[in-house]
Amino acid sequence: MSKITKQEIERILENPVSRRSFLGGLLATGALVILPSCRLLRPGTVDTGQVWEGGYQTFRNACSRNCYDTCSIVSYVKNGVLKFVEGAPESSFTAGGLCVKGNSYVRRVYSPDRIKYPMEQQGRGTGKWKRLSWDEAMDKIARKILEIKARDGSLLGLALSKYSGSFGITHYGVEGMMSSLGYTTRLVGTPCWPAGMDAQNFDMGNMLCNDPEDLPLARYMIVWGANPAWCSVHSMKFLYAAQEAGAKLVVVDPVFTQTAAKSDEYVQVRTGEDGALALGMCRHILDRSLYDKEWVTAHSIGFDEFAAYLREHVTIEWAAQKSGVPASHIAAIAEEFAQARPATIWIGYGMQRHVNGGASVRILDALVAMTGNIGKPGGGARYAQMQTWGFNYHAKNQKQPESSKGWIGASGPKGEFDFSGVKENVKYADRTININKTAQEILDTKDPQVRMLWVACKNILSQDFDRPKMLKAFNKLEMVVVADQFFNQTVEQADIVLPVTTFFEEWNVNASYWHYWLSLNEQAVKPLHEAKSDIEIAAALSKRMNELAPGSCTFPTTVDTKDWTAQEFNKKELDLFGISSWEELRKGPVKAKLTSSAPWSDGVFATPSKKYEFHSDLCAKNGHDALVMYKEGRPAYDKLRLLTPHSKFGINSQFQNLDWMADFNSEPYVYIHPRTAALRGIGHGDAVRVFNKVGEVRLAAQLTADVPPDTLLMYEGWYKGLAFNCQNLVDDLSSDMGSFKTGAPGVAIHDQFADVVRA
Amino acid sequence: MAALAGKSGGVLNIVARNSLDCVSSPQENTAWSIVTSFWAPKKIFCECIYLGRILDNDIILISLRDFFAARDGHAMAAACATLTKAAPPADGHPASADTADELEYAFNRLFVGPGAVPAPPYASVYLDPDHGLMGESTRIAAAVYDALGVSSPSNGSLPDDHLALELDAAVVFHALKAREQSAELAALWDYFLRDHLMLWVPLFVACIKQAPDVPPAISHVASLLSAWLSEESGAKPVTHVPPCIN
Repeated sequence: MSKITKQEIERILENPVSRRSFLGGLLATGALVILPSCRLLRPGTVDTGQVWEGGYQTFRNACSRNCYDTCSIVSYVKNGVLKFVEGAPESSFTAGGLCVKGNSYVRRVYSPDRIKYPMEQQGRGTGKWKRLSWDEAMDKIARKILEIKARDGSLLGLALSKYSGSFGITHYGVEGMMSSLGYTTRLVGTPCWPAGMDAQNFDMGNMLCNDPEDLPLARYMIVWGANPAWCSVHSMKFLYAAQEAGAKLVVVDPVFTQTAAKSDEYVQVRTGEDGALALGMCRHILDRSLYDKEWVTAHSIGFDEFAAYLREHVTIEWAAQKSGVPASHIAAIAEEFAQARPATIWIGYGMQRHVNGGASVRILDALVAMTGNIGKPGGGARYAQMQTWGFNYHAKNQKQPESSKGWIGASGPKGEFDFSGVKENVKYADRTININKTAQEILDTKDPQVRMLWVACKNILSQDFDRPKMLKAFNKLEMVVVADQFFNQTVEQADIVLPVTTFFEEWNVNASYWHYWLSLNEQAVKPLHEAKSDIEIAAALSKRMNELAPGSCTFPTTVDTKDWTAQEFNKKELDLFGISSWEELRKGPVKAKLTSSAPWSDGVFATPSKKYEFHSDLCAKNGHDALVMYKEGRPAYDKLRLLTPHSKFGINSQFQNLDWMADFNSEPYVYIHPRTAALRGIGHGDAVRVFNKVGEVRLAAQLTADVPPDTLLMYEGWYKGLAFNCQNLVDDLSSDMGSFKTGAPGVAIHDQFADVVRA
Repeated sequence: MAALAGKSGGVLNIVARNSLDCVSSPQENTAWSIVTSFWAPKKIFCECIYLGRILDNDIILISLRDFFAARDGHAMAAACATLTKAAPPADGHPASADTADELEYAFNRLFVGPGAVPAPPYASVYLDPDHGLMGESTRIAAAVYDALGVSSPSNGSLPDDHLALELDAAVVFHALKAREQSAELAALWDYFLRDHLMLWVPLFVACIKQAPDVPPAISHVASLLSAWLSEESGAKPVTHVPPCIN
């Protein structure tokens, strides 16, 4: 017999029939049954349905990141392995493409760096980890919870920090898990968008935005404090389409962003002075009588008061002096904006992360409103929307065990996705503390203190503010449990880590806060390693809780992510999207059936007056000025401004750790204006130390005139294996608004200051 | 011979209770019990007699497999102890001086996580162009197992090209070769050894050798893994250490 070649072996192995008959006679003798030594492998075959050659199986997925675009994805699976992903062609928003991050998803699932098993650290930060079985992990956690309940008489010593690591709707089952255990402490609010959210609610009675797909109808567009070229790449095609049809694109930003590079005109505003700039425009429009008298008369209240304020307190020269934009330039864009119909402003989240952020959003709203652009297709003060998020929140809405004791008093909203409103006259409630001051709240909270912290969908040691203080706060915690996919800086400080599934390994449903598409997320592959979804973790915990103390947890002890996804739909939500069953989403994403691409097109608002409110008593009742007006920014506390915006290669602390991203962006930099650098003797590439009252960061400098001379910029992010953390330089000062709709004020991320020296 | 077999049976019993990969879903228990029923020390002893030869190499292979399949420090230490006894370190360094806990922390840091591991024990990380899990090399390992008539009980949650599974397949090959003359079997083993194991295991060993703070016991395991591969293949031990890809 001639030697069997490698090629022949490979050909034989490729075909299940030929490979199983290859050793046929040998195996038929039953040799395997009496094999002495094989311990891991066992007699048997893999699923015979698998094929090696031929077509891919496709699945519907939805990007669950905290991102404008919330892309509809088609995933391609072969032999049970995810091979590649594409944007779903059915969605005219995603339109068949993904961003640089989305295209890396295969790498996320199959990265050798993934957290694979439940593990326990023998001393936080020691790196001494032991594997646990799921049963062992749940036992340790359940016993700690029961111990806290026995000690304090309630579970207020158990706190949850969860935010936007996954916006799949069943992930609200983490909040549900907490409720199913009892009344707990919740870190509420959001670091993202709450000031602007409150502002739009005061002005219009809700936060609704034009369909971004109607941007091509705009004749004039101002992108104000947003960078969609990086953070909403799918919106760019609509901006371009408008430009091609003759519209002007103006970008207002302190930083010359990639979006600014694509604009027709770039306006470099002084950080935090967006309100002054917009008020100068409003004053000029008023002086030239270019505002929409008919619209403000019919559909608003308080305009006369606003006009009087403008005449009395605002001049275009004042606006120029405050904003750093020349008066002639302010006048020119004001005139162009007011005379273009329709004209629109995209109000970015970056511009409201200030102590005057909510006030500034109200001013931008007013600018759009007084020019008659609210309620117009192609117009609008575009910020965000949540009207497509009308799910059942089945996973979230769990009942506390009977006889649970909790916080005594009224309970406000627990974040922006808590639609249950303010509850009064309840016997017990959860205790709410401010998520944007997590460190301080853990340090301050007493009776009972926060003893145990559960972290899900969040990397608090990369994303929460004042990291040095956070490390101190962690010292106070008796147990920290983190559910995550990668070993980030929070997992480093955990006692127990639990591996969670990627969205390809579970069922879910996702809506966007920007566009109007709804996407199903099908399980495309089996969970790798021992990863479980957040609700499967809740079920496993409930099982152990009830074994140790029957009745101590109401969460079901078995869940199926598909069933639970199905239970998130209701008739109203299905009707909004014009489908009769959620299963129709398996054919592709669907778009909400909107009567108009512009909200408020009937001129009726959801405010108490049913009109647009330049003067809002509700706003005053919430502790702010009733009238739209200027609010001073934060006084400088160091020599230079510090900005820590989103990177192109990540969303918050996600993605940058993947080697595919590191190939393009291997280390963090601080970006410095050449003049500022020269004064400090700093050259391009020099190692520097950036420092302020919070802490310091050491990294390399890059010199660029894209940042203003008074500004240092470093992109937030978590780099695998690097200690870099911009939260060593960001304090936890609140922004002005956010409590009304999210239960806690936002945070002034972009009102930070620092200095830099050569290291 | 009897003493040797009894010893290895004792080790294996410990491992069997703690091994990551024996965790099976209820419906899989039946199949598993067929295999585990052969694991009483007496049975092992009988099989050893039947086979007529348990080479030192087999003890080493089995212990290497058990080491990489281990999920706690006791199982790791037990496998190390057997390996040290069968093949003492050349420099006489007491390789098992580390406590079971220290061994476990280092093992997890190198091979398991939760952090990014410097030496992932999966073939595809070294052989596939993307250096990810569940690649073409993973499929090849599964196909070889399928040709042998065995499969992994992990139902896909543990990639089929995990080193412990591949070493277990080597054990199967050894056992089959010991009792049957088959050109096909020889060819398949030759392929699995030369076109698979030998292509990635040296790279894996290099990653261990280049990692910081590797305990002597794990260094010794890595050396024995290299030596086993050389002996199997008749090739000289790899002296040129390729750069670690991680």
